[in-house]
Amino acid sequence: MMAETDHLSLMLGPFEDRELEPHEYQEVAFHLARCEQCTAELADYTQIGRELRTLNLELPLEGFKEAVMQRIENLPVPFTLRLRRMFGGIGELFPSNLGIAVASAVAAAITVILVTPYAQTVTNRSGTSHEIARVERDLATAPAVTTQNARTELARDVAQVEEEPQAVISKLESDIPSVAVWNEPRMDTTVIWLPDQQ
Amino acid sequence: MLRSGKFPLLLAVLCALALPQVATAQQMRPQIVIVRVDSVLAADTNQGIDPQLGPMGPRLHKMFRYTTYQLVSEQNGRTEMGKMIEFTMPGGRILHIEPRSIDGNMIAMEVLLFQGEKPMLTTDLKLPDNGNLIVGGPHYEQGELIITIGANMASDVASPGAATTSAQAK
Repeated sequence: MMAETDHLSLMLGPFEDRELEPHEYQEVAFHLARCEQCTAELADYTQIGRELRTLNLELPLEGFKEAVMQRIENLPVPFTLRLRRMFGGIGELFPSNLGIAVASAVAAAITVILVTPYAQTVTNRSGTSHEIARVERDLATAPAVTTQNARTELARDVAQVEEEPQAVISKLESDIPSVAVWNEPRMDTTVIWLPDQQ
Repeated sequence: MLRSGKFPLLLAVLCALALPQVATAQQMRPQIVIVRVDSVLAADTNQGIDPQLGPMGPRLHKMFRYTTYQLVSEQNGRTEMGKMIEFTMPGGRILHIEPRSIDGNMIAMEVLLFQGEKPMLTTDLKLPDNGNLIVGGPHYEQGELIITIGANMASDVASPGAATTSAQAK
């Protein structure tokens, strides 16, 4: 319980601003009913508050928005956020269906390159070039007689293979799903292999 | 009597007149095709290469890498363009070969392989004269059957006949 002689200067401001708890508010109000000094002081607070609220400060706001936006623009942007914005911008250029179609086409192209015989052809082509380079090196280091013999044999083999006509299959029908066909040019033979179905 | 200087000239004229007739007569004769069909059992039973196969044995070994090659049957036949010739193969299989035409050095033909009445393979191909076609893979006994088909244009004009068999098909 507060003594009669105690004054409540520190609580008068919050009282005026309605910031006290209910029991504190009630206590201050009870004190003010008996203390002229505090009542006068509260009246001063009230007067000051009223005058402050009547002040109409017109702050200059011209260029304020632009200045704020400029400061935001100058803030450093994380790299991940920049990437996200970039891809988001690209994505907005295309409809979602077109984006899916493009992604599918890219995936199909990668599959074609990596999985199909096209890749094997490319691989074999590079392998062949390596093999030719190796043979060229061997020929360069081999004795002249050996090189000449090897070239003669190679030319003879190539001529033999080129001269011999190969079988031409224009139709091949079979119920067996995995029929294999290949040529053995050095043996004048074409093979049709029917895997055993039993 | 003709003087000796005119006789070669007369002979040349007669030959020139006769050549088209000979060519026409040859064109009228159907081209005969000789077909050879060998049936070989290929298996991995380590019995080696049958000497009856001759040079074909090592060639088959080089191509297929089995350890056993045994000649089962050897058949020859003559036929002409457009006429089918039939061979009985081991394991109840039947082979039909019909030469269709000659294109330069190539013999166009149709080859059909049946398992009983069911066709296993139908193919149209052009085979070089003296070339070989191998049809392999069907199961036979403890291995696979390899059928080698060879065809060449006959140089003589003997009439075609049925297929003859040297080794009996099983």
